[in-house]
Amino acid sequence: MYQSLKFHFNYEWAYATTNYGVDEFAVGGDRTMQMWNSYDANLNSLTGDVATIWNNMYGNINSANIVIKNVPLYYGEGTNRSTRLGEGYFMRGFDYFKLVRQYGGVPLKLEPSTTVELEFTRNSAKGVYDMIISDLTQAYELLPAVPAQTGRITKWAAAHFLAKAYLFRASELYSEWNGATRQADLEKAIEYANLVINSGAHSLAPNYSDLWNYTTVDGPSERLPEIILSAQFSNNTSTQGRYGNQLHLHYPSVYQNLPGMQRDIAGGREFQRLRSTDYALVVFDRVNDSRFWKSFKTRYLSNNSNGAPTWTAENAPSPDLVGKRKFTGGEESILYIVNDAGDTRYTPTSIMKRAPHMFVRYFSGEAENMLGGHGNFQASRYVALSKFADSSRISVASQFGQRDGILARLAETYLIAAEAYGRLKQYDQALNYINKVCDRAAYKAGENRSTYVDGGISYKNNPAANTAAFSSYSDKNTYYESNNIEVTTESTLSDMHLNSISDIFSAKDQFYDKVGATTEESKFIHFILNERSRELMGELMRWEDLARTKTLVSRATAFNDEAKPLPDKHYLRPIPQTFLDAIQKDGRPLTNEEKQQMQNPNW
Amino acid sequence: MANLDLGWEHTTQWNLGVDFVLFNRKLSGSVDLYTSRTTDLLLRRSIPSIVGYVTTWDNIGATSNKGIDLTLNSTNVQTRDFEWASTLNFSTNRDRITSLANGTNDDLANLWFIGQRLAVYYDYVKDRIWQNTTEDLAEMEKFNANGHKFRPGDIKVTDLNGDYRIDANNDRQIIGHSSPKWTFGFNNTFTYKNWDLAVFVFGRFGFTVAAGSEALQGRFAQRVVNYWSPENPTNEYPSPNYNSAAGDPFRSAMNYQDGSFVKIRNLSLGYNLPASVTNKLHRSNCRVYAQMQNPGLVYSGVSWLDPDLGGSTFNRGVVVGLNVGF
Repeated sequence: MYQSLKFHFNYEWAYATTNYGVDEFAVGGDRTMQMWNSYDANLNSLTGDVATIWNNMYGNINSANIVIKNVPLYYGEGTNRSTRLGEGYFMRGFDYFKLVRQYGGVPLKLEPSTTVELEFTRNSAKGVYDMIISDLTQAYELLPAVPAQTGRITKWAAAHFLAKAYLFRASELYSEWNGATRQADLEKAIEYANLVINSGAHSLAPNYSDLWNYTTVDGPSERLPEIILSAQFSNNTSTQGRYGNQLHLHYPSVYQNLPGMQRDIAGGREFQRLRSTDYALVVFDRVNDSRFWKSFKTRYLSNNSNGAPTWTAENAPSPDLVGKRKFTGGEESILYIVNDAGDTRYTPTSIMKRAPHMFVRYFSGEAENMLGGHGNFQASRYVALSKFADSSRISVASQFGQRDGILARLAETYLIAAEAYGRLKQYDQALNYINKVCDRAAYKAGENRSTYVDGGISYKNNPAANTAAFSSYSDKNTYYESNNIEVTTESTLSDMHLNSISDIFSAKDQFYDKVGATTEESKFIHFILNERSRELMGELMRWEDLARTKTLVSRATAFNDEAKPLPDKHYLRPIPQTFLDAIQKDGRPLTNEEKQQMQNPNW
Repeated sequence: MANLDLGWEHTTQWNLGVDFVLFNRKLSGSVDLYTSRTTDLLLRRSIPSIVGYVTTWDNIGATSNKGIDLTLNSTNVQTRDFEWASTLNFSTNRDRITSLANGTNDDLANLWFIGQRLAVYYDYVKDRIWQNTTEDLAEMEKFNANGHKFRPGDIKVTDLNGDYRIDANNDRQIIGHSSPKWTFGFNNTFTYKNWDLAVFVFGRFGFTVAAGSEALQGRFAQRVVNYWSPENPTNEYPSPNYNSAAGDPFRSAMNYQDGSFVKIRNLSLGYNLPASVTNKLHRSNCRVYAQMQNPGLVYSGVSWLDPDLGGSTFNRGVVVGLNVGF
């Protein structure tokens, strides 16, 4: 069963079903999975990964059903029995939760099968949530507080997902039927989130970058107390399966074909699937919020001296440099300048007078546009999310990532509780919880803001990496040049900390006008969604958060240049055609009309 | 899934065969007629993944199978210096699904349909390409009102139920089957004095090849096709679309081609050195020959692949040899 936790990081479906078609990311230079972003006609009930998610969840649900049925028969009494049984209940609840988030109500199968069964109908989303909450509650009761081994599921993981399931059930997507349970669910979400927060087992990492400072396989960043549950990947080739953790492939933008650069293990393979949107950059207060500079990569060093570009008569700072290399191995070679409209420092010709390749978000005189079309960012040249970089791999080309995949961490638990408090209009409490993550995100006094680290650093401990050669890895960012401010080491805690709820309601930088948020309730939800972006950017949750809050259409339309979701269709995925074609009713296949009825609306 | 309901498969078969030799051994051959009926046929089938597995072995139903195998050997011409002999094989076979485990219902998940062959294709039906004409634009408008985004240059598939909505439930049908209706093999041997020439021709007729749709999205190598553009309003292939990595959503409908073909499998030419020469060389015999494997297709319903193999690559071999007897 544990193998199935890795499924969520294995392949293209990992991001396509969760981080495409949203406000944070759009399609990069490789368009392989673009239908999940654009919602065009190639996303339909026959699309392969629609069935992949469905089949794999039910495959593991069957394993869980076997465990739940057989552990009481063969394990006697004792700790082993309750732990194994708890794991079975957790997995079943966890997988049904994934199914309901993607497809809505699905068939509930709670017993293992030994003969062909064909008669299935969909349960309601409410029925599925009842089952999820029942299973995760059982898991919470049965599972131990302290895991026997790293990566084992604990009762705190069950409590985290229980809180999340309660919060989901109280969200807008289910407003047609959740009226009766909404208040109690929000209270339950708070209760279970608090159980995790006060468990003593988990605490926030002191520095946000501790989470992404992956130095070696199963190193310190993978054992932080902030992590509540992660899929365990390692360098053990007998358990890595068909894929490994492949997220390291999907976020990087292309650096290898720029003069003076070549692909190396520290820079990773650039599959360029997920291009950060303007929203993904602007949602951060990039002066005071360290999370932006700890999530995104903005600077590279040259690792190929011979290929470096040369100065020309037009751009050389002095005539004697004409024909000489602009930079050499180990020197700054690519800079992403994350500035705002109104910055007059850069023009297309002025950047040529700089030694490194310059990618500038706004050139002088360009008007603000949240859908791109400014500066010289392109489909393949964008500020890349670097949280998942993995340079411990056995070769530059290897797709088998070895980093653990985080499924739950305490910062999200805080935001679940904060959202539940806010939905109950207990704003003071909500602020307390939001401030936990905001305070941690602030620069600390004395902190060097131009210091940068991501999982590329693990090349230094990787025998497969040539550490004698130049590496593209840079331990600096473009903080000061991008922000155009003087060097400072003051704390930004007071800028990040929310002092009162009016900081949320009267904020001018939270896109309320762009997403149509006018009421306090709606502003709070959009603020939480923004805060979830800042804290959890790219962590495979976004589509499900926007769908459940029914903000997918407004936010994807406002911030994603290609995504065209429809409100009466795209809050749910299509039910796989393979399922509709295979099932029966009263001993006969479904008629076309019955299939259409069982399909989600308008698919 | 370990299927506890699994049982034996049963087959009853009748076979009638005649061997004959006629006209002073100039014509010989055999005819076989057979018919069989299989019940509780054992096959791997797709099942709803809700049970945790996507396939299992199962007794899926009953099939019938009947056919004719015919072989003719003839010596067509025989003179002192020249002989022409032929062997002709012909076979035809009809398999049919007569019932399925759940009675008389088709099984769409496995593409098993009562009264049809075991291996069929089921898909949208390509009609043509949407054109930039007043009629087509008006027609597209009706589809687009239902959520489609058809444009001139897209594939037009047949709206089978006429509701101006193309969907997987209502607008797919059986397109063809992958096993041929009949096949033949025809071998001819010509001998003239010391020369001999053999040609083996092989053919399959009445089956569908599922290949040939192209994504036309500009990333991977593909064959040259006659694609739509405003200046080239063809009905063959849709307009290229770089933005769509998967190509036209209905591109699989371009897949189905008549696979019938006639092919020369083997061609060989030999020359036996005359006794006067072999005697001088103190050898009992000596033969020089050249053989060609798969020289090419004589006729094919598809131009871009070898329907014999279903792919565009095949082995073509030339052998030049010398046989010497000591």
